[in-house]
Amino acid sequence: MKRYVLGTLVAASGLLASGQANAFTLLGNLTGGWDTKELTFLVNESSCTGLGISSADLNAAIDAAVDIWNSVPTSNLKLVKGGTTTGTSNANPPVIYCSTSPGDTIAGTGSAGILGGRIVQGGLVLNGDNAKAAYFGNLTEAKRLVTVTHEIGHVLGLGHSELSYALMYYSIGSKADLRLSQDDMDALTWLYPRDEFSDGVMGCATTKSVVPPGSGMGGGSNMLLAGWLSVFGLAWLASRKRKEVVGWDGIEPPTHAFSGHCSTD
Amino acid sequence: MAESVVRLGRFLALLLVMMIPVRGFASPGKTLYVGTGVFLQNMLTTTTTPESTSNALGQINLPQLSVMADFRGSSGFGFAPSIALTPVAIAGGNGVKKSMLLASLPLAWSLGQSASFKFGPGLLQYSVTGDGGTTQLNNGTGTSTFYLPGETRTSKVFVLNVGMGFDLFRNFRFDLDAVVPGALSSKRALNLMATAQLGIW
Repeated sequence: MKRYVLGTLVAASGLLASGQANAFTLLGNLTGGWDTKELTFLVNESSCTGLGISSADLNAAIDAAVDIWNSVPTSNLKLVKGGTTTGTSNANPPVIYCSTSPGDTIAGTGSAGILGGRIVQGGLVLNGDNAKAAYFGNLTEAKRLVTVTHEIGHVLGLGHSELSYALMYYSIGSKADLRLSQDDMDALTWLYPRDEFSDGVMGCATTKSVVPPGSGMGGGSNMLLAGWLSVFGLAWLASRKRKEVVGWDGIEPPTHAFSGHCSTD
Repeated sequence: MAESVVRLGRFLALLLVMMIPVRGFASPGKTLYVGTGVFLQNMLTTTTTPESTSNALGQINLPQLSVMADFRGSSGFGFAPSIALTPVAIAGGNGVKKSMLLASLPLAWSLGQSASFKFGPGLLQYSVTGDGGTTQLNNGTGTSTFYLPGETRTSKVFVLNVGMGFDLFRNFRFDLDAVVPGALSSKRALNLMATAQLGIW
């Protein structure tokens, strides 16, 4: 019976393995993304006066993009929107600027300069040419958010995905809202994996471990182990106290005592 | 990778050491369960449609094998450590695979005869790996060469585990656990683990 049930469970497990596939790519032959856990973007607002939207709307789009990339739970990357700049090319920190150079159907372009398998500079250019079909100012608010977020993805090292529902799909034509797919999250996770044993717990700054480097478990795991052992100890004490009342192995003593007697009937 | 194996080994050893004495005062019934389940990943936030509509269930593609110990004493209080892992990495179209391991040690309280409430910490280890190489994809005006990941990258995040366990019938239980990474941060997310398990010891 047990074998039958276990076999059924394993078979069910296999049937459930038909979920969405991963299809993300990278912008170059990368071994990692930017060599930092906090990446600041600078904005060249003066180059975007012909963008067709207000400075507030442009900054709102950038804020939304920063927030959604920062929401990936398995990535340690933190994006920050910094101050302004006059730069109009790839740089470190990366620059967001506007230009009339993108093609007729390109609303924006994100790029990254790669050296030794890591990203060393990047930039994002938005289409500020109102004579072009993909002029940024002609886009709906949702598509503006999607465009900026997609191009920031390129600056972070993400390539295109072949999944039409991924944010990193080449076309934003069907996008009506700003959301990441699991494929986008997996790409960011691969480039910027989060390790709370070394990064610190829940976004807190890394604390020095009392364990010498190379000795195995770091401060985070020691804390977890200590917590679990404490819980175990409490549970054991609670159960032991209870056991003294009810008897060995937690089995209630019988309430009806049986005693031997002889019936005279 | 080797370090992860060592850590997993330590956790399993700890679980085994805990089971030996605890088995003596556990409730009558099974202490060790094995089973399978699904992991609903990043619920309510991700999308699976070209229009980017919200997918309430998130990603549902991680079948899990699970091992769980139920250490509730006769007082109805105890804890329920468990490990769930992906038996075979899920493969994507470009050779990109992913797998996960969830180790948790929640406190457990009995709620009546056949249900229990669980609350406690856990650790989610999530790996993405690939075979490397290149692929040609549309870039908006033509095609470009894009690169595929060629190494394994692993994220390890602490999670908060809140769940319920139900004893459906003899030696068989169903567990539903909310798994929340980054509970106190902006990286907070909601995952759901549903497992069906059989008591074996």
